[in-house]
Parts: sequence; structure tokens; C-alpha cells
Amino acid sequence: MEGDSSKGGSNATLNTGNTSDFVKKLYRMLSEKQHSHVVRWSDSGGSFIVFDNSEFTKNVLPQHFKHSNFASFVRQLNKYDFHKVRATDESLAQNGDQAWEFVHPHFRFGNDGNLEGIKRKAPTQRNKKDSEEPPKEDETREVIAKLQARLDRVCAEVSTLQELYHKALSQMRFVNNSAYIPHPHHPEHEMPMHVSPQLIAHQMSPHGPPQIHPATPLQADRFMQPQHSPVPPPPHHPNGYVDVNGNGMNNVNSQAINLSGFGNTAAQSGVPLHATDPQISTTFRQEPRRPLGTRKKSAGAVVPHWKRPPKILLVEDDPTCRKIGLKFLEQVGCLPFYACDGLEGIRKFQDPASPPYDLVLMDIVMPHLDGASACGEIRKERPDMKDPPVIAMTSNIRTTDINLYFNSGMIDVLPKPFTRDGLLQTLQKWLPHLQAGPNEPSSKPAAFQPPGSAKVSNFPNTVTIPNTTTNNSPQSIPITAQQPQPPPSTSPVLKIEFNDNTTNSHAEDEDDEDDDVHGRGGQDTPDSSVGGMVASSTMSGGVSHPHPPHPQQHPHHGHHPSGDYTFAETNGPPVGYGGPPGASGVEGEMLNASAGIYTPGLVGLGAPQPGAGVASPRGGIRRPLDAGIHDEYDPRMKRMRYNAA
Amino acid sequence: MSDDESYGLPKDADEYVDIETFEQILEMDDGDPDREFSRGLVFGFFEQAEATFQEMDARLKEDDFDQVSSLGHFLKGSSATLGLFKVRDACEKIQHLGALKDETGNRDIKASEAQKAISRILPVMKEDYAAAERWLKDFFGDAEGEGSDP
Repeated sequence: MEGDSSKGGSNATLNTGNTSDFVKKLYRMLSEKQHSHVVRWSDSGGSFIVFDNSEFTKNVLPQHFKHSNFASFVRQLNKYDFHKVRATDESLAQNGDQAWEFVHPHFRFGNDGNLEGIKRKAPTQRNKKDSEEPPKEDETREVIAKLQARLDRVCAEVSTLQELYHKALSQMRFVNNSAYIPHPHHPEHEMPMHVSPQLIAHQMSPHGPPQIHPATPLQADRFMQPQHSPVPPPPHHPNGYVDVNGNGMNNVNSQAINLSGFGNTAAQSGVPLHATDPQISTTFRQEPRRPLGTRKKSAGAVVPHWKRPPKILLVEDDPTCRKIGLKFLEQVGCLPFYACDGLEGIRKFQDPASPPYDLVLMDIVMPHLDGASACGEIRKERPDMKDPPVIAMTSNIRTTDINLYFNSGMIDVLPKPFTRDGLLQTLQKWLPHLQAGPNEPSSKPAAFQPPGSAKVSNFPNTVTIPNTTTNNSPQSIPITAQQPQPPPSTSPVLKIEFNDNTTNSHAEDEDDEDDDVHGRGGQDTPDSSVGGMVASSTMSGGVSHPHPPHPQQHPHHGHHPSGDYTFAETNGPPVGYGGPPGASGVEGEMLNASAGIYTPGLVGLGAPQPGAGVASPRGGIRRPLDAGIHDEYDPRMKRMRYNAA
Repeated sequence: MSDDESYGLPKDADEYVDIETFEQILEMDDGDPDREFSRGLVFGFFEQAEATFQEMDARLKEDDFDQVSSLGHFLKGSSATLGLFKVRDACEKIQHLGALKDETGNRDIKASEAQKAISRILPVMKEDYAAAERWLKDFFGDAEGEGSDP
């Protein structure tokens, strides 16, 4: 058992009964001299070093571990509580900058008696109680605590702002809506809401209703009650939108714009990226895992909240892929449809009896008609690449392939085999307009959550204001934006923003190898999605105007605000999303307007709190679509275990 | 990353499947002790794989490399989805070889080379597949394959 350098050690190791196979293999591998230029014990014998990553992956791993996936190897190591030794200047000089050094207290050269002590780490602290860090990670805990505190603050502020915002919005709606007949109930709301003077001035200057009592947002606080929050107009009040638009805004989209202003603000304060409170929405909860290097759970628990289940057409010839794909789609709250080849895909797409698909997932290599050609056909009739987005699903993700896909009208690529997370990420990226809020921080659930009918029915109450007030506006306000615009009306800028939003997230994947999180397909899902989620959460929480449940409503989402979000739907992608203040025209106007209302709150939110401001810049960075392609897929290509050169 | 234990994967799982991918499939069962979904998926794959193997053999005899290649591609997709990395890798090679490229898809080769290489890879792949199938049936308790592999 004594470590007689090489061979003896390996034999002895084999006999240690309880040692796990992985550790045995590892020890044996290190005992072999022929790889010593690639991987060997460190001089001290207390760690081992992989000197040549690619050589190791190509030649050594397969011999000993039957795979050639370095990331997987590292994950295994992590599982057994090996740790990567951080490179120091000294070690860099000695081993080169390609070296990976791993250490485990029981894993020592010449001491295979200790190997039994190397166990897998306990299972699933990743699942439910991620916040419970191992005690040794004091530092991490501290960070978490800080972030938690900040998050709480921010959430509180956001919810305050939302309340105020909704109130103001209701007020505006009421003020301009003569057709609206207030509900007799809820007398406590039958007083004019308090709206900030700025807003009124801004929105209503031509018809400024004298009845409104200017008040600061703080005063308005008094009115904050949970039932006020996202209170969309009931379906039978179609004028709900018009009111808002009547305020001199040109387009219903401005609502979304307004909201996304909020979303961004929240994002700026770092809510999504550093949310660590385990009580926070699962979507948020995903996020901290990576930065903290804790175990990550696949997104199993995270199901996005759609305003209605997106209808997805999956065109895939392979039954296994199709089954899993449909299952994935179902699990992430979509309403999946499928076709078995390109021809059938086109047929189903064009069939007037088919539902309008929100997105098409298209395999490439298929019998009868390949996916790219099928998409080309679709695009002949629907030239807008986002109408609906067609996503290539393929393992062929070389540049030339990708160019082909894009040229045929596909808008994105989902590398195969796709993961649930990867799929989800793609859906969230291209269906931002269908996203309702994620589970909001439970500390303020009532304020954010769109828990369905209760609030819907409450809506009128908040707008219930003496009738007289409304009488002066109707004729004078041009109601221009009443006719919904078709979805294709998208702006190229937005595409880029969406794209970029996701694109950026790969950065984190690059340097996390010593964490357990590396290499899972959907790593960047939560990250990239939060920006959008926040924005849309505000949307749904705030001004989304749920209509009667969509006939296709997915049963899973019955608890949802039955949100057929006609508003966003009919107006194309949420124009407002991502645009940081500075967006021009109506957007800017609206943002300013809301900034005017909530200045005190916004200062709190928008001012960079310590270490904040991570998410929002993503929304703001604009990069050409093309440039994004490679960035976006490089990390995934790395993750793909195909060895295609 | 994920813990095999939570899905009761045997220790040797990583010899047959890519753990991560496979666990993702198991996750789809949502805790169903019968693993109805993943079981169905896997057993469906068995049929698919066996049919594809036969087809490959037949096409190879006819020197229909195109078809062999596309069969390789086809099976690559589903094996990758399940995490059967050996089958997947072999299929990828076959896909390339059938397209008259070398295994990695970079260099053109002659049909005779392709024929030879595919003939070499096919049996290995079938063995790997058979091993994986046994392992999988064992894992799933062989409810549907009762008798075939006691």
C-alpha cells in the first residue's frame, strides 16, 4: 500500500474495497508514467496537474474514463470534492497557463490507503436548500446575506413602485375614459387616486382634470394594498387600452415600454443576477448558483410563466428526439404540436385549421424536405423572421451550416441534443412577449403575482372614480391606437436586443470550470432570461390586461391570470423591452413620464447599489445579429460532446 | 454536477450513458417511480436502433452510402438525446464515412475506404449498443423486455 511510485500503487489501489471506481481510476491513471507529460502528480504529491488539456482529453481520458469530455471529468472531480487549485504566478511559471491542478485532502501520491475517504459529496443540496452553503464558505455566506438584504430592499422598492405605477395608470385610464362606468363597490377606492403632478402634467396637460389631487408617491403609499397591484381591466371593458392610449401616446405598445422601463430599472439594481433568497422565484433562484459556485440543479423546477401557453410546432423526424422535445415543451408550459418532416411541417404551418404557432422548432436533416428548405417555404409567405421565429435544431453548427439556416429564414439555432434549459432559454429569448412574470419574490407575492381572477375582478375598483371626472376627456382625446397592429411590426433594433440579451450570458461559462456548473446545456438560461423576465413580470404584474382565458389555455396554467395577452400579442414583440431610458420617441417620453412619477423610488432603484447593475446593460447593448451568432454558440459548441472537428 | 444517487443510477452508469443527458431524461419522469416516460423513450429507442442497424447493414451491402450516412445521422440524434455516447459517436463516424469523408468529416475518402471503415465500425457499435441496452434494461427493470434478457 505504500506508494512505490508507479505500478505497485495502482495494483494496491485496485484492492481497496470501498474506494469508488472513479477515484481508483484516477489513481491508476496517475500511476501510469506514460502520460506524465500530460497529467501527473504535483511535485509535492498532494495534488495532480493536467498539463495539456487537449492532449489529456483526447488520449488519456478515453483510456481511463471511457469518455473524452474534460468538462465531465472536472465535474466528476468536483463531485468527489476535488478542488481546482487556483493558479498563482508561481504555478503559472512552473506549469504553464494551461495547467489544471486539482487537490483533495485524501488524494495523495503514494497514499492510496486514504482513497476510501474520498466520497461523493452528499446528494442534492442543490435541490431545495441551495442557500445552505457548506459552513466553510463563510465568505460566500456573507455575500449571500448581503445580496439577500439588498434584494429584499430592491423587491420592496419594486413592489412599491409597481403599486404606484398601477395606481397612476388606473387613474390615467379613468381620467380619460368617459365610457367607463365605475363599479359601485369598494368605496375606499372611489376617491381619485393620487397621481404625481409630473405625470399629470405630462400625460394630460391638454385636459388636465382638476379633480386629481396631486400627491407625492409617498402619499400614494397609503393606498397601497395588495389587491391594487396588477389589476387589468376586465375583458368586457375593451376600452381599457384605449384610455391609456388616449393619453397622447401613439401606440398601445407604449404600455409595454413603460413597463419595461421598470423592468430595466429593477434589473439595474441587480435583482435577478444576485438573487439568493431561496424564497425567491425559482427562476431567480437559478441565478446565484453559478456565481457562487454551488451545485446547480437543472432547471427542473423552473417553469416560466407564460401569459398563455406558447404554441410551438416541433418539426422533427426522429421519434426519440420528438418525444423528448414534446415532453420538454410541455414541461416548460408550452402547447406543443409536431410534424414528422419538413413537408408535414409546412403543411401544418399553413393549414388554416392549425393554430397560429408562436414559434417553430425545426430539425434540419429530415426526409422528404429538410428543415432549411421548409423554413424557406414558410418565409415565402411570412417574410418576417420573427413571424413566427423558426429555430433550427441541429447538431450541425458549423459556421457554414449556421449561415445556411439564417439565409433560409431561421432566426436562431438550438444545438442538438438540446437540453431543457437550452430549449427554455431559446423560448424565452424569442417569445418575450408571451412571458408573464416569473414567480415573484415571495416576500411580496401579493404585490406582483398575477394570481388570476381575483385581481382581474378587482380592477374596476381601482379605477372607480366619480363619474364627473371622466366626462371631459372623451371627445378631445384622439384614440388613434385602437386598431391592433399585426405581429410582424417588429423593429430590427429589438431583435438585436433580444439576441444580445442572451448572447452575453455565455461569458460566465468560460471560467467556471472548477465549479460544478460547467457544461450543462442550459447554463445561461436563467441568466439571460432574467432581464426579460423582470421586464415582463412587471408587465404582467402591472399592466397586462388579461382577457378571458384563451381557448387553448394549457391546463397547467389554469392558475394564471388567464392571460391571453392580446395587448402584447397584437402589437408584436414587446417593443418596450430592453430599451434603457434614452429610447426615443414615445418610449422615451413614457419612460420619462414614469420617471417623473416615481422619482423618489427610482432613485433608490436605479442608483447603482453595491455591485449592482449587471443585468440591464445587456438589454442595452446593441450588437448586430450576425456578430452574435458565433459568440452565442461557441460555448455551446464546446459543450457539445460531438467531436466534429 | 447532478447526483447520480438521486436517480438511483448504478455506479457504472457513465460507461454507458452520458450521465447528465440521461439524468435529464429521467428528470422528465417527474418522480414517477415507474419511469413511464423515460422507459418508453428508451424502449422506443431500442426498436428504432435495431431497425436502423438492419437498414444500415442492408444499405451498406448495396453501397448506398448516402443512405448509410443519413441513417447514421438519424441514429446519432436519438442516441445523443438519450446520452448513449458510444452509439452516438459511432453514428457520427458512420455519418461522415457514408458521406465519403473520413471519420471526422474533414477529408474526402474513397468509397472503398468508407465501405471498409463502416464495416469495421458497425459491429463495434452494435456491441456497444447491446451492452448499453442490457444496462438500460437492467436499470429500468426490463419490464417490457421480459424474457429477452433474463
